[in-house]
Amino acid sequence: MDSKTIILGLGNTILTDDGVGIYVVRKIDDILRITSHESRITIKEASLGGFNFIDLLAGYDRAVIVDAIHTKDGKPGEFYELDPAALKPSARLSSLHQIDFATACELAKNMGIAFPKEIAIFVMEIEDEFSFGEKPTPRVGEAIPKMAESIVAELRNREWIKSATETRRNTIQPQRRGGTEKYKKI
Amino acid sequence: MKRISIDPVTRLEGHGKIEIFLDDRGDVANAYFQVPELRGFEKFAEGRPVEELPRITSRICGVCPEAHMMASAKACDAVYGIEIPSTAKKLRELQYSAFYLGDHTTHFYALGAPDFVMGPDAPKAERNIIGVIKKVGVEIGGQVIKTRRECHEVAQILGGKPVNPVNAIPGGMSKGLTKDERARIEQIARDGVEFGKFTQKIFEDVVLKNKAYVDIILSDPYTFPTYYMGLVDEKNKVNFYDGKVRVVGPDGKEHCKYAPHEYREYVAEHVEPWTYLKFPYLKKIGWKGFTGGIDSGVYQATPLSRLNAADGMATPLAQAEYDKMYKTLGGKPVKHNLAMHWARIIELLYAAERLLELVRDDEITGPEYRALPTKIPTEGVGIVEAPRGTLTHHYWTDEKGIVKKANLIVGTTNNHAPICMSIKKAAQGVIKAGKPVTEALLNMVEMSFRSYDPCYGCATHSLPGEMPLEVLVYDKDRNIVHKLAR
Repeated sequence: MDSKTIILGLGNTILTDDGVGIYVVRKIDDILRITSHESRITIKEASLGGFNFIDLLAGYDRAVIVDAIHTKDGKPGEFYELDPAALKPSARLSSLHQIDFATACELAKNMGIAFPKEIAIFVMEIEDEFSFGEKPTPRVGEAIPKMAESIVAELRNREWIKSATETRRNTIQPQRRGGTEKYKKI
Repeated sequence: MKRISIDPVTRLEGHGKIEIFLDDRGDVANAYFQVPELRGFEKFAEGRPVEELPRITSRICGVCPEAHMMASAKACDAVYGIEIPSTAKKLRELQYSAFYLGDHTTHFYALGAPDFVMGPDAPKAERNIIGVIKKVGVEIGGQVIKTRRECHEVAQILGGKPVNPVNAIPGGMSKGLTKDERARIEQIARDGVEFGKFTQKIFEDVVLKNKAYVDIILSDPYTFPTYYMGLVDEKNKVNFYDGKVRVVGPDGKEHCKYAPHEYREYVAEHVEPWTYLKFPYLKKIGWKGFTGGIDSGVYQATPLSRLNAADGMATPLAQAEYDKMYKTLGGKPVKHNLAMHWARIIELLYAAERLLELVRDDEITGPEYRALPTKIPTEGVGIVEAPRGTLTHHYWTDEKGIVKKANLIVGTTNNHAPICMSIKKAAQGVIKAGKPVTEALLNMVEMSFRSYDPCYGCATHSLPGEMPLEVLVYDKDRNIVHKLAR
């Protein structure tokens, strides 16, 4: 009950489907506000990777990461949980320029930084992350609420989400004024 | 929900690819480097008020948002014909110096150092920052994390958020600096200078005192003469934020020096059928194919090329290291690509010193940090040095400031031709007929690529800075005979 959990949406909301992780956590935020009052849950969104994971995740006991993935045979809109042993393939969790997610976790451990002991990674197959655009493609867009509901159900199953009092939200990614974003930093 | 495991990289669409083609004997005939490209930035920018672009372009890439924001804000200043107040200029450069310090720290410790500390042929699982801290000491990890965090803190103080800033605006900055904030940044800058000195010491101990590594740096597969580009101040010293673009030849002589708005007289872009990415070259010399040297218009825009293109560093400690590098590596210009790591940490020290210099300048807390645009907007170019090369933003607007057209030449794109050529040269140097192609050899090919710190997050505008890479070796019949994925 006292475990602190972060739900982190990753992506870039100006690259069509790339922002799906962010869209999904916004939806999760909607659901939790309506159906639950969870005081130990923090929802964040970020367009970052590598070392930044250490700063983003430090201090939490559990982390739920939502990101986009684009595999050869993937069907856009299909979503699933990624086996943490195979962390590399998601868009932001592997890196040429930076350290990858697994390395960030190990580095934090080596440095004695309090890092989540339990991590769940949910990804959605996307269609287009190479075109500038502020809206997802139709199949991806339709799957966003379904994925959010499935993640919430999954987290309830695992008892990572319980009823409590409130949900906090923070924003890392700048919000476009007058754009499609519904939330502001609290 | 179903839970699955996925093979790494190889099954992913949209990753970078190095392809090496062998001839009948098994020597390297050719090597290509390919990445997917992002589409539609121009269309995306069209029809927006130009003042939105510094905020939007800072989101193109999760790796160097400050570089895009600064180049974009400078282009907006030019669109409106504004000379920004001195305090604004200093604040921008202050923020930019902190960004450089953090970014170069990441590259050196996470990507550059592992090859040298662990050795280029060390197993892949050890060739990373964890290996480095296990070998050199856990305090390094702490220093790296602290420096990065403090650089983000400077961005937070100046712009209200640690990353993806939005505070550089047409005419200056959105807020000034208070005396308390200034004191905190001064403390961070002092720590940064110490960290910069510490980094030179690590390089000295690990690389320079090891003859084998110095020999690799000086070796032929990693030696590649071209023209060198970099932004310089009025004394021809390296500057990241402002000045003129100077280009020197492989003979060290100045080829040209131009103001941002003149860039199209000096730089043109070549197109190849096998990639969407363009290949910029020096217009007055011309595109002569994938070849280096004084007769080819190919140039590099990297930390090393910035040092080559300048007459020195504007701060004392960095200048001393600058002199040492050229003395050690045989004078100017240095043509050895792996020296890019050395140049990068000299820039790291300069960034820290410059941060300290600027925060100690009394004008930094001045009240005039923005000039309001009053002229009719038209067209403007903004250039800064991104950590990965000269970054150019060019906008055209109507009289209301609505974007009609936009053109970007991003840092890594400058280096596209040199990267392709460096890969081929390294491949030809290390992969030989009759010798098995090992992972260690392929890593040595990749080292030539990695020294550029290529960031295809914005060169291709995709998967912000996080492009997986695959190295494929083909025999003469185009069968894949070796594969390395990361």
